[in-house]
Amino acid sequence: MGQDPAKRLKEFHGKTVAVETCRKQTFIGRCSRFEKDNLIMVDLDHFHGGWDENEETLESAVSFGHWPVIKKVFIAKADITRMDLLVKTPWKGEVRSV
Amino acid sequence: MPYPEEMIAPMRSELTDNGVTELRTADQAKAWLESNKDKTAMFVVNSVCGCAAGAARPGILLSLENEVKPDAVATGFAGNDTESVNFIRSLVPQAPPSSPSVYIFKQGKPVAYVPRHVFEGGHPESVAGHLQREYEKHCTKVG
Repeated sequence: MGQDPAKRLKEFHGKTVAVETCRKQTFIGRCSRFEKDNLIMVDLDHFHGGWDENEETLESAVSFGHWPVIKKVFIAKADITRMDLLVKTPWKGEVRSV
Repeated sequence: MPYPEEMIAPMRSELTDNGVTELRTADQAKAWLESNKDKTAMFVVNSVCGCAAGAARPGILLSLENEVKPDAVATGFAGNDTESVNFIRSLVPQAPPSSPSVYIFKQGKPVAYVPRHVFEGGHPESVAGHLQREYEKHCTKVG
């Protein structure tokens, strides 16, 4: 991943994110925090294959959420190849006057 | 294990003081859905979490100021009103349990679901905007 994901902790903390690793795994769950070498995620689901191979799963999670089948995992920061919020459009783009 | 009632009372009343019907049992939820089977009905799964306090509850109330909105709005509290919440969840089995969350039913059938991650990091205006787009798709009640 070009940018250290820990630098986006403020944006990710406590929110549901999707994470892809170089070990061909994709995780969907809540970002707890970053330690020195690890990302700690809680209440998550795990899928074999990278982000692109799980496009349909990710689309479904955007619409319906994810099953929290794993309580907690530590993911090596160095293994993370992609990480983003599980929303189609960031909130700042969704504001409209009411 | 349910949360202490004295702790969640203000979180319940934030909705119920503003006209949202509280449903605690499965029978109440079934009867509510049955009585609104020809209408649009929205069920809110309330929660203790921060995104419920900061975004979901105020956003839901703000969304109901829209001209077009559900005919009926009810709520159950995740972890406490397990009967009513589980009954509503059972009607949308493809949706993982999530709180806070919102279910919209039209003529007794689920037509929209808004899971927790939509509320995370949002603010009342953005949540209201999201819900109002759903109301405009599915609801007909004006005013």
